Amino acid sequence: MDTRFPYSPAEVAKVRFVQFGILSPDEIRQMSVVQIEYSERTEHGKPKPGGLSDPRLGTIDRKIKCETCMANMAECPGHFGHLELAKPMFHIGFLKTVLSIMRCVCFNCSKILADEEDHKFKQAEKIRNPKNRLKMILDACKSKTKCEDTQGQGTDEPVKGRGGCGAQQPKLTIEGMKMIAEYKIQKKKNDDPKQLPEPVERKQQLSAERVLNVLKRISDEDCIFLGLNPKYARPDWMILQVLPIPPPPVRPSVMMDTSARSEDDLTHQLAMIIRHNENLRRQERNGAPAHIISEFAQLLQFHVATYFDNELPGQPRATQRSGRPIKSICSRLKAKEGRIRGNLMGKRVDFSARTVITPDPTINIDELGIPWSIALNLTYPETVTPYNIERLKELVENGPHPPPGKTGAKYIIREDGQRVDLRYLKKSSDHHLELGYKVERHLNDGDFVLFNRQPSLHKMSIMGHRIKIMPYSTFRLNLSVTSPYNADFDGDEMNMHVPQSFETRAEVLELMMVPKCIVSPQANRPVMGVVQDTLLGCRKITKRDTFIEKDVFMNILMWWEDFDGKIPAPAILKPRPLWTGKQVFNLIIPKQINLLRTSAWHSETETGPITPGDTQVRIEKGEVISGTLCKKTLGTSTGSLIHVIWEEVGPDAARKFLGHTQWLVNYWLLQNGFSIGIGDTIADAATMEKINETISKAKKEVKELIRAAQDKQLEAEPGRTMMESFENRVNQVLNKARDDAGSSAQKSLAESNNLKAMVTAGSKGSFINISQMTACVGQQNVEGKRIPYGFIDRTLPHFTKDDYGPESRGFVENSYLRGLTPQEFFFHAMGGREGLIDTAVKTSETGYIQRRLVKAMEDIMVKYDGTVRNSLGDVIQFLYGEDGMDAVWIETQKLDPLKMKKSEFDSVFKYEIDDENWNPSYMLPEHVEDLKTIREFRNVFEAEVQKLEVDRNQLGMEIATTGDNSWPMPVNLKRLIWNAQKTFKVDLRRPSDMHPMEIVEAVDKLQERLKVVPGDDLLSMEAQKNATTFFNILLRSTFASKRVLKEYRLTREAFEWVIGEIESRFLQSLVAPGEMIGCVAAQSIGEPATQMTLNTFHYAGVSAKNVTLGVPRLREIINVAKKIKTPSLSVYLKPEVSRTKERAKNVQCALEYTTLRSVTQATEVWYDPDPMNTVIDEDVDFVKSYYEMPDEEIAPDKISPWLLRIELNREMMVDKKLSMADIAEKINLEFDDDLSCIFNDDNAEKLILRIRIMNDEASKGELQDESAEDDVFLKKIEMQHADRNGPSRYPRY
Amino acid sequence: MVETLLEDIFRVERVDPDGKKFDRVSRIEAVSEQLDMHMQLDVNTEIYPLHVGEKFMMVLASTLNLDGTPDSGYYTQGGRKSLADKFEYVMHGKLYRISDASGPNVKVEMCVSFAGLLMLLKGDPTTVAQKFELDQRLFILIRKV
Repeated sequence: MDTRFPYSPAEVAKVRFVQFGILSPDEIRQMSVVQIEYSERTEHGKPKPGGLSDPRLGTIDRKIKCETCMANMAECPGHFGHLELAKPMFHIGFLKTVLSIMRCVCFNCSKILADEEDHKFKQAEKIRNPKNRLKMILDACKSKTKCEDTQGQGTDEPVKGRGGCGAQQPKLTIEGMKMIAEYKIQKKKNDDPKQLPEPVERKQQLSAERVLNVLKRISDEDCIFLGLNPKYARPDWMILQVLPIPPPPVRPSVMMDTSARSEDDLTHQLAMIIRHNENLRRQERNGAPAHIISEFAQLLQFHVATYFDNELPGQPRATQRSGRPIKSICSRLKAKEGRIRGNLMGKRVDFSARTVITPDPTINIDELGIPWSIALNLTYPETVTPYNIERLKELVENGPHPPPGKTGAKYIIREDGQRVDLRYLKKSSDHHLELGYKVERHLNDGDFVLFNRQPSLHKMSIMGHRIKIMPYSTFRLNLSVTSPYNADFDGDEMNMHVPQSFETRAEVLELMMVPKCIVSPQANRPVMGVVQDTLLGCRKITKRDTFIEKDVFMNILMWWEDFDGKIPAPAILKPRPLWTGKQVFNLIIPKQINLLRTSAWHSETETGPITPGDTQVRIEKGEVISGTLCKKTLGTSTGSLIHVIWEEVGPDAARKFLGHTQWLVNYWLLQNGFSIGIGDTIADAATMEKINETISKAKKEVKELIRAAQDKQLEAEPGRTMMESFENRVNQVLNKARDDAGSSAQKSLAESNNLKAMVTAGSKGSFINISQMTACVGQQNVEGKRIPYGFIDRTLPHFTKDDYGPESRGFVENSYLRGLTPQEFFFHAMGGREGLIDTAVKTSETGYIQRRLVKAMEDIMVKYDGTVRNSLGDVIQFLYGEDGMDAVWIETQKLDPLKMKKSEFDSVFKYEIDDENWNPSYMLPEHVEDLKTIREFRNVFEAEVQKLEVDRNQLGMEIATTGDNSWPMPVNLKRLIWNAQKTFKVDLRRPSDMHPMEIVEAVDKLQERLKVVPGDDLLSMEAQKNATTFFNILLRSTFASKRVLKEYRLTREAFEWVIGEIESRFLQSLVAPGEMIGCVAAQSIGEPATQMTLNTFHYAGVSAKNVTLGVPRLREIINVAKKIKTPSLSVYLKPEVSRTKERAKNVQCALEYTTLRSVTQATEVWYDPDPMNTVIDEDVDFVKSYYEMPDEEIAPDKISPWLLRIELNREMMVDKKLSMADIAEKINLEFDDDLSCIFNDDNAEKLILRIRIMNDEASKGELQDESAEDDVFLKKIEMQHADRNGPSRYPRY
Repeated sequence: MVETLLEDIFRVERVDPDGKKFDRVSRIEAVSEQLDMHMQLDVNTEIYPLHVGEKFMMVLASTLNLDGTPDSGYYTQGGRKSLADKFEYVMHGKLYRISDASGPNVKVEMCVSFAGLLMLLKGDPTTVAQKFELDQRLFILIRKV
């Protein structure tokens, strides 16, 4: 129980349901404790009875008890009073609803206007949602101008229908806070104009009183039709007759000083209402003229309205005397800072801190430097035990303001829950601690906290850190954790939270600590790596010719935590001892690590075991054998050093490695020095010449293109207009020019260039930066096109009209170094501005995408039975990812057999047993003899190879069908083998002591032990098979007996270790039950979406591939958009049609949506009265010949004299492989016998289609009049049908 | 006298066959006189210049201790007498690769890394491979002749 509430013996009731409704005037009176009559609050310094501070409303004074409930200030919630309004008033919040109800009912008799027989009314009746029903009824009543009187006057027929009064209905509108009724002048012939209401009265103001009278008469049944439950919300309750007066706790007054009280805005407004109410009542009592009363009523209406909502459009604000607008009830609730979003939905926490972040490379990645001021403010409740009592006693002694350099405590909590505030301690006996007490002590070094940066798009946006108290006022964090937080130090602030119990601490420690978050399941790769200057330092220190003198190396060693006084032997002992930079890494890479990678700038031409450029990174047993470490090895890519250390040795080793790398390398870099300046961006004269040449050549090319385009010699590319293809070509030329210029600039930079050093290291800058700085900034784009014409036919007044040249359309030929011309600068600013807008739009859009993704999947979880379910227990997946693997433990692995040739495959997997002289060096002779002699053994190995062949086929045809042989899979087998070779010192020159049979058996048994789904029922077995097929294929192909013996030469000891390790790692890779994988999935899509920069990505030049990508495409997918921007369909042809163009074309023709219009050359409508003959000379022949031998019997008198004559385009017909008959057939299919269709031969000079209308009933003599309409009808067909009914040879579904 | 693993006199054939890539280190191609070995070796030419045509004596040993006690792997200061005294340029590294030499007339390739300075030694299996094993710590000692 919450101690904030007093004890109550009443049982805690459960809320069964919540019913919303409107307070009726009676209810307001009933719940009221006092009728308020006076606007004055106090009289003679005491609260005035019947005033706004009536003591019965509840107390706000600590000393006085509530007169109603006799409780004191803390317990009394306040009690409502009420105010009798002199006249009914509109409630501003219900005004719209009142209007729609008023429009639905008769102004005179309050019956619903719409007829019960009306189908719209009937439809409305069926709608269950009351709000929608009202809308529908309103729709049905809209057209009614009279309260219909279905009762025939004087007849005895039983009353049918609604039985209205027959009154004419006014048109109701709202003007400000008034309701206006307007009568239309009726223009019925027999109506006497004198019967109409007086012209003045045609437009009249409706008082709330009138409206109330109408609403009151609405029957309960009608209320239900109107969407209101008369039990809880009668329409007449929407008009205020009695105003509830909220108690003071809602509108507390503030004591300015001893005497003066400052009242709340609401109190002021209520006082105004009471005053005006009184005025109105007085005027009424005095019998003032109607217009005066209405004037006063209007004033009261205004105050009542602004009391509820003071931000009404078109209304003046009610203000305080100072001119400040009064805060109304509405603005208390509304908007972001309102009661709902700001208080009820708002979540705020205690024990948290927020400040600016700054970097500190000398702390560990899981540490967090916090300022003293924060450490001495936040607390952690520590229970007193025999082990910490001495320490806690000292902290308590220090108190809340400890001496410099020490922490203290704020409170002692005794066992009975009594808090002792150490700020106000009088007696020293209060310091006394006993076991079981709790001490709320300040934070100490090593306490665990949560650290967070918004937006929290990741689970890595909130991680656990160990704190370290530091001077100054910022949070200090290691540079490597900036990437998961997406933080930089340009003024970012971050939040810290202190867990307050052992349970939360344990969760932070075991699940959320930074080292545990290094590898993320998002892309199964680390999210933290070596960054910035450290990365640059790593690249420079591991260069082959970096030597470290003795003094520097000694100092570097001092940064090494595990230094034990023993100095590793230098690489060069003589002439003088020199260490290489790689030896620094030898100190800190864990000893178990083996790694093979290449540097970022490695080229395929550098082959051989010892690359001349030192690009082959080889780490064996934690020793850097060769290679330069760059971003590829130390960054966040899959299989990087950090990834390997984390997976092989553990999170803590990875943490240690990241820390050490920074400390040691940064120290060295500090001694070595590094700076970058303008000089690093200057290329030599020859290169500049070359760059200029490239650009002027490109400009010349564009000139040529413009000429060609103007001469109409440019061929339009498929799917593009002439203009588009021109633009495309120009873009290609200019982009290529920029790239060429850039690459020659990059080539010119020397190895010693500082910019190049950063780019090769991967710490900052890229190719595009170099080329923009030294060579050419390149084309500026707006909306994916060159700079558009903002003026008439030109981009800027500096250019001539219709200039399509590079300069005028935003090609910046200068480099940043050389400087931009004013025009170029302007274009650059245009492009830059679009980028800024794009980022702004993108953040909000992706934020929403992220929220929807998370909201949709937040409850999805892996359950203990291995299934994936939502919070309702519905199964989403029977096995997570259908293989039950946790993405954290998955790495990309190569499936070797997939890309082997048959001969290769045989040499790798097959024993040449049949060969007489077969005497392999990789096997012991007795084992060879076994294979040769024992029949059963032979069968086993034949089966092994056969299985591998089946696997290979299955891989290629069913699983890895993309042709890629690298796939993400658990348990990195290759690395395991290498580790085994290294730890068990396998000599690759000696044969293994293993018998091949042993290997086959061990692998078989292993496969059986790798259980994802236990159980031996059919379903489980099937699931198990599906989950492990892929991995088992990898396993079999990697541990084929011949490979183990020949390639890896594993000894029995090593092999057994590997097999055991596979099993344990496989089991480790299984998802843990309880993993909230829905969140993981949502975040894994949402987070990268926020990083997407460009709106759409254009493949320059390839028109077919110009599809929507990035955020817009993601939005299409998530919105399940029916109309996507670039729909496309890939048709996979069967081999027999895919070989020749003609056959492929056939398929295209068959699939393509063809309209009659697309094959039509011309259409005409003729008056051609004789159907057997014709007035058109061209057609005479075939018409005659047709009627000599008609296809079917035709009655010539039924045929219309009007003719639709269509000439078809022969080229298109041939292209689409259509015959005249096809088209005629389609038309007949659509119109049956309504049209007659005649056509000429496919080989005729012109392809003519003659269409006439068939009139079934009438012979033509009779209906001359109607046949004139036939031509209109034909015209219609001509226009519409051309698009709609296209003949295509296959039915479209 | 300590037993060395390999001794021969080499002649520098080429310097930086793939072009000069590093300021202070050059790759040297050398051919031995006695055992018909081919060697590529990265040398810190800043402190020990080697030129084409020069001849030098190269020794590979597993320890520098004159009494043959195994090397500790740590840096020992103080001028104790050692094998290195008679040489001008001494490096310390690890043998990380020996190619498989099954079959006749196949030369064995042996790769040693002196903390990033690499050596590739090609030679006859009997002379090169026999005495060495993988992951062995080695000293290279050079003296111009």
